[in-house]
Amino acid sequence: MKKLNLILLLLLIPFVFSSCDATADKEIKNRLIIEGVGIDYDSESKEYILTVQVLEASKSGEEGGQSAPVVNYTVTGKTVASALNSLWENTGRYPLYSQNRIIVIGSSLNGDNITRALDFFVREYTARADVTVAAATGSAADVMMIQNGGEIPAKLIENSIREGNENSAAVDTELYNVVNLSMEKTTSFTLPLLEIVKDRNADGEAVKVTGTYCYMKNGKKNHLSDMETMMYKFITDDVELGTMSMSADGVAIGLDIISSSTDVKTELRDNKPHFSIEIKCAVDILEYGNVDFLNIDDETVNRICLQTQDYIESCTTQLLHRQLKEEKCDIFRFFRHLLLKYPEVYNQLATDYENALSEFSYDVQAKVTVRKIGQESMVNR
Amino acid sequence: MQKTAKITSFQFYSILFLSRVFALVSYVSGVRKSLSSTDEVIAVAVACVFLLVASIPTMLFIRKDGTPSILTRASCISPVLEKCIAAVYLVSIVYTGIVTASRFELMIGSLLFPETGVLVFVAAMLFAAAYGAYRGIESIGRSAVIYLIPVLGALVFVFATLINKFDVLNFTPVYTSEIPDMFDSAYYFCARTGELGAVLLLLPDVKNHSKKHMYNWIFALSAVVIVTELMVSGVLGGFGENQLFNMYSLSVLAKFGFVERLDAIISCIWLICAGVKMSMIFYICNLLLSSILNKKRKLVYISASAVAVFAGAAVISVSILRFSEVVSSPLTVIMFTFTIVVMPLAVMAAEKIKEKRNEKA
Repeated sequence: MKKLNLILLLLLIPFVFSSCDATADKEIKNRLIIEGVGIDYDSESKEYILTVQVLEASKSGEEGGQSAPVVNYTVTGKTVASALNSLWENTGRYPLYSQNRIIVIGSSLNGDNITRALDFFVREYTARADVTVAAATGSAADVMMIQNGGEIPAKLIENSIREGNENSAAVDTELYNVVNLSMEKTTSFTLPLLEIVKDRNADGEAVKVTGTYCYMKNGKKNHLSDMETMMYKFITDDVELGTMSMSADGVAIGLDIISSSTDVKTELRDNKPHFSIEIKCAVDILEYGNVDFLNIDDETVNRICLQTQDYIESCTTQLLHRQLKEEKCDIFRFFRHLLLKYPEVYNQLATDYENALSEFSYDVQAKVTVRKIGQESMVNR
Repeated sequence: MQKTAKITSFQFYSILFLSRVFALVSYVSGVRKSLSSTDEVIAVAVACVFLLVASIPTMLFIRKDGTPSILTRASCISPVLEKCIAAVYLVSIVYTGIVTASRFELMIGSLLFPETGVLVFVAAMLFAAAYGAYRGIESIGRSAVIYLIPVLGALVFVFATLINKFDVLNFTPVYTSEIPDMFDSAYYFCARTGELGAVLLLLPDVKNHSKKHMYNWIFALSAVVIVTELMVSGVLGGFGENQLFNMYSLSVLAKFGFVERLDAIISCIWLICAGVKMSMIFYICNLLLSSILNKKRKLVYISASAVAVFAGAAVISVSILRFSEVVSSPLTVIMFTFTIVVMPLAVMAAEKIKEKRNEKA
């Protein structure tokens, strides 16, 4: 028996050496490590123009470099897959998408084009389902080309979106979310919007998140400002943290959002869908005009709470009105709420959903509590 | 001759649990008619009820601790019956083995090493599993108990990190799919728990076996399957319909602090569970071939089973279409019905008839 084991072991040994095989094309330095992809569309030639940001593994260890260790390649193709394949043919290096941080969509693409363009990343086995997808105010290529010192541009963009998301100033849309929302017949998906601005700390330019783009089902898109983005996140229960600035009775108030939760209740009123939105929010007071900080009494705190509630209610109501009644755009997944609770009503309304949106009614109730004023806890009062 | 070692009930059901977990994590969405997400969850819950019902013949078959296996009891009725039953079980278990190895090949080939031929990995896994089977049920049982906690822990960890991504809006209204389709799916889910057949075959290898342990196994399994289906539907939503292995896609989204891409955990679960499942399959193959051929040649039988499974997997996993045809064929359901429901009932009926004849005589 021992002899048999020994023979089997000897037979296995050659397999161990197989990993030393000259698989040079799979070595890390011979692969295109994709950091970011910008997608534009040329409507004349009907081709996708891809700006692919690739990490130069040989330069990535260098310290004090003035430029980022990346190279941007521009490739074109009738499909995203064919464009990316040409990248492989041109460079002789096999692309690796698992490192990809961001996909930037240029303004030349509308909703349908975007979902078609993203299909490759949904099916490619090395691509990440949670890669961040963002939109550019202009060309995606311009955004990808921005250099900012020695940092990888795609990494900087990803970080600014993540930071914006944590502060409720940006939506953080991951690939699988975009796919899910675009699959819904009546829901419009949103992407964080990237703009090229002058860098205040340097002579060059930088990429900044500036609100949100809503991609409507009719191919149009509309823009949400930073404040509207926060209100959108309140409605969709997506607020994590954030800073809210408002003015009440001529006094500037700075609030730090600590926690928030939103409950959307769907009901039928006169056979028409009605959505009751209840937002519960806990804040810290960071700043309150010029008043002596130690002398903020309970009455003032209550007033701040009421003013904040009014502010949230009025801003969210305005946003709901603009999106549902004016833009005819359901970014809040209200139709999805309706589908789950009243599928028959959904089926009736979904056929002409743009007009059905004008039949929707809603009310918003905000409940704000103050946790701390500066360093002072309200619990100890 | 080496004396057959017995394993505890816990070890035995650990083997069966890991074996079924492999079927769960390697489930390929899209090979069968798909249901809407909520209906899929309902179908899985119904499947658990079906499983409970399907286990009734096995429950009736188990009289008390030390109950002989279905083969031994069949041999008491007629040696020909024993061989027939063993042959049917052999076909069923080899089919399960081929499907398992094909799933393993498909997973490795499409997700881990798509650029290389992966049959060598399948061969290595089958070799390791065959060696495990050769060492006996005790070594498989001990390995299963050691792996059980990490596998369960990994599943709980992945699910816990995904809770914040769970969205009720990803579900669909209930009963949007056709009711017969739901029942069809439910029975198919149930039929993928062919491990129930191992209870009938391996009874003499288990000491202190009780029905309670079997119920515990079914309930634990049902809980894991339902939670998994809920997470897949609630997190992935429609995106999951485009993915080959939903469980893997789910794990790619899992993050915990700076630890990202927990798919490596699921890959480990695949490997562990596939190894345990194949070991059990080869062990049973040896048992059945010994019964059919009336000779004990463990090494030959296990090697032959491994070669047969490898050859079958190599043929089936050439294309996803061929794999889909085999997996979605009614064979799974027919085998399950025959081996889990019909055969134990038939043996018990034959025993009664023989008993009555003996009484008359």
